[in-house]
Amino acid sequence: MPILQQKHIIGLSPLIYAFEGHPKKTKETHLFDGEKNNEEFLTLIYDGKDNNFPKQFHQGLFVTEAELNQYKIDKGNSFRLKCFLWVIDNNSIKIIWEMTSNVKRGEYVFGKPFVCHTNITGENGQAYIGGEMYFCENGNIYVNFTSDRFGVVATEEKKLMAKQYIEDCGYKNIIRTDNNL
Amino acid sequence: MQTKNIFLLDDEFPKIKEFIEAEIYHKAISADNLYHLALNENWKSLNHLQQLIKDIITSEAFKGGMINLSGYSDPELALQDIESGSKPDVVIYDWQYGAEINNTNSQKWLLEILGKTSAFVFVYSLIEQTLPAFLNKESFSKYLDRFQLFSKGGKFPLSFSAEEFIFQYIISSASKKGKIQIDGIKIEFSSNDYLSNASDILYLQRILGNQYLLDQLNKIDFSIDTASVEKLLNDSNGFIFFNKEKGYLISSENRLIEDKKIQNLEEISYLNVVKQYSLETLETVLERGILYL
Repeated sequence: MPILQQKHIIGLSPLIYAFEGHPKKTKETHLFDGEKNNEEFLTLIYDGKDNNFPKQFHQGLFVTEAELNQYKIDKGNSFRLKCFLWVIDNNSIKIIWEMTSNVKRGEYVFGKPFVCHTNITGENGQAYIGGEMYFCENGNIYVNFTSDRFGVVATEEKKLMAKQYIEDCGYKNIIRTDNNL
Repeated sequence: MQTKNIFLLDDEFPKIKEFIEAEIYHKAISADNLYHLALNENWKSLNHLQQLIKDIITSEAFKGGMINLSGYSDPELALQDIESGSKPDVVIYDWQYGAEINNTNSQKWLLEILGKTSAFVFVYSLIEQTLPAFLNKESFSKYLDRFQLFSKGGKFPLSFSAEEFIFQYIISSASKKGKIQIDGIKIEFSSNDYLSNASDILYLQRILGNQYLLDQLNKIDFSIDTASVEKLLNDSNGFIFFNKEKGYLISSENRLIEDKKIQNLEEISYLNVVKQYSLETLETVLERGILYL
């Protein structure tokens, strides 16, 4: 079931623009240059409909059990070095390694010369929802919705359907990290 | 105050006869000799670098002994000095050396510098836009928070040129004072309880939003110090929540609060988050929605 089916679309709707629905942030106030473009990253963005590991993935990017605890990934914290950003757009899930170098963003957002969610969608692209995913050596895939652009304001219904869709793509052992709050 | 060591690596320093004969280029080039070259020679397309050297050497921070500046026309010479115990705080690293096409050595040297020092490295190049292809590797990614790519002579988006930004970064690192420019507005900076470097002002921009920060600047006399950071955060009336029992901070707009019916959340103002933790912590919570401490 590679691309979104009607049941997924119903559960995931509506498609939103970055920061849409966010009470404090808008594209105008919080989207900086270097965060608006996706053209140069298109070849690195993986279409997860084939349920394989993303592009750029290699054995060294498996999260170890020790890292899982050290960085509190299973609780929802970030471990940028092994983090993959994802969004579900109008077609399927798109994934990119967060540490993908983004020179332009580094110039505008000093200290962050790597990609963000809007480098997948582009400034005017829409997505249903987004977050992070970590492939762990224990076989689990830890998924969260920690994206101020596409995740923070997402409803529980959206999150449930997002997990369902990722599983329907064939990814196994999906663990939500926000179940013990 | 500890002196900041600045290494400037570039193989295109002007080569003059007297320096060649004195083998000046075969070791660290002193600040005096760099200044001599900057004042007297034609740097052609490197005129921005020439001006950077002039600015550093004529700065109060340099005159006050707070900055050491050394030039290297070959990264191997810099690495030899590093092996011998020299510890640069900031490295300005030219990416291209000679006629090398595949940049193999540029990558190797950069990795060695990052691995053997704790310096912040400005990677400085005429081919900035093609660099990500070389740098999208795990070997570089673990250092991504310690280097910054700049285009030689490029226009830095915050209205400084790349070289002006590097200059201000160096000056504020050394003297704890500096300037930064946001949308053309110059902001005076003093190292304070919350921000150690002028470029940290950009955290405020990401927290408060660009327009809000610009609107507030006249209320703080275009100057960033401890008091003005507190005023900016306080006036924003921003707050997040703290779950003391579970040990996490969560942004007030995070839908999880409603959907999971989370109880026992304590309101904590932006200012208190910054006082108790850091500006970076606040920015992370607002960006990711939640952070376990």
